[in-house]
Amino acid sequence: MPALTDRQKALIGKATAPQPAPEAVNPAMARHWCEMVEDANPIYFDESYAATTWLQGTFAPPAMLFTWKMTPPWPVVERESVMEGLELEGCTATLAVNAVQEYEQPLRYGDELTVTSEISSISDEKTTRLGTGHFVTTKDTFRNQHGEVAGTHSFTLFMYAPAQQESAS
Amino acid sequence: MSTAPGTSGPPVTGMELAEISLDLSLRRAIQAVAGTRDYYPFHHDEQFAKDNGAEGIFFNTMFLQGFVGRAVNEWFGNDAFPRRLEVAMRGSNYVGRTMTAGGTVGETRSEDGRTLVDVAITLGTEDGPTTEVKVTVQLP
Repeated sequence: MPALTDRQKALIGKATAPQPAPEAVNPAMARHWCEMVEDANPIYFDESYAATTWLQGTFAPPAMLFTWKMTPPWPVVERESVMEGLELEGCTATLAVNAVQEYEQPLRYGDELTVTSEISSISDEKTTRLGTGHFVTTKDTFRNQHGEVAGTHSFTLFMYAPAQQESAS
Repeated sequence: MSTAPGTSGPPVTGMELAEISLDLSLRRAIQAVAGTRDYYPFHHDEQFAKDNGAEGIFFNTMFLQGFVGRAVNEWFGNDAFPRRLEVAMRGSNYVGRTMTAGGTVGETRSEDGRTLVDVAITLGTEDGPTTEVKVTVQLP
C-alpha cells in the first residue's frame, strides 16, 4: 500500500448527508458524563443558578460534543460512514492520535443535532513503532435544529497494519 | 489578592494551576462506557486489549475531553466556557492508574468582544505524561 490511489484521494472533502443524532441533547446523558469524571459544575443542571450567569441557562457539558453522535449498541443503526470506500489495505487497527473540538454555542437540552462528516486529509504511508499505515483526519460538523453550527470535531486516527509482535509487551 | 484556582481573580500568564486527580478504576472504565456510549472493546475488555497489543483496558478520547472540561471549570469558574479543545494522545491511560491534570496559564487576549485565555495542560499517570492538551477558554 504505497501512495494513495486516485479513488482514495477523491474521498477527501466529500461530506456525508446530514445524519440525525440518536438522541436530543438531554440531561440524563449529561449526568452519566458528569458522574464519569466527577464534574460537579452546577451550571449543567441547576436552572436557577445557570440563569444568573452570562450563559443564561443550563446546557450540556461542551466536551460531550462527540458523544451526541455515538450510536446505541442495539438496535444497530445503519449510517453512512466517511470511511466507506477508503480501503486501506491491511490496515485493521485504529488508534486515536489527536482530537480538536471547537464549540460555537452551548448545547441546550432539547436541541436536535445533525452531523455531517468528511475526510479532511489522508497521509501517505507512514511507519511508526505500532505498524505501517495512514493518518486519517475526519471532521464532524454538528448543527442544531435551527441549522446553526453548534460545534466541530476533527479527529486524527492512525489506521495501520500492526507490526509483528515478538511477545506481549 | 488571590488568583488561586477556584477564586474570581484574573488568570495570570505563567501561573501554575492546582493539580486535579482521578483514580482510573475498572468501575470508572465502566462509567466511561455509560458516559460516552463507546463500546469499542479496548475500553472494557481486558483480554481483547491484551490480544491487540495494549497493556490492558485504557480510557477513550471522550473521557479525556470530559476530564479536561471539568478541570477548566474548577480552575476558571463554573461559567468559564471552552471555545477550543485540542487533545494529543501520546500514551495510554490504563485502568489501575491515577490520572492527574496539571496546567499552566498562557496568554489572555480579547477577540470579538470575548476575553480568551489559552491554557496548556498535561494529563499523566504513574507511567508519565500521556496526553498534551491545549484549550482556549472564554472567561465570563
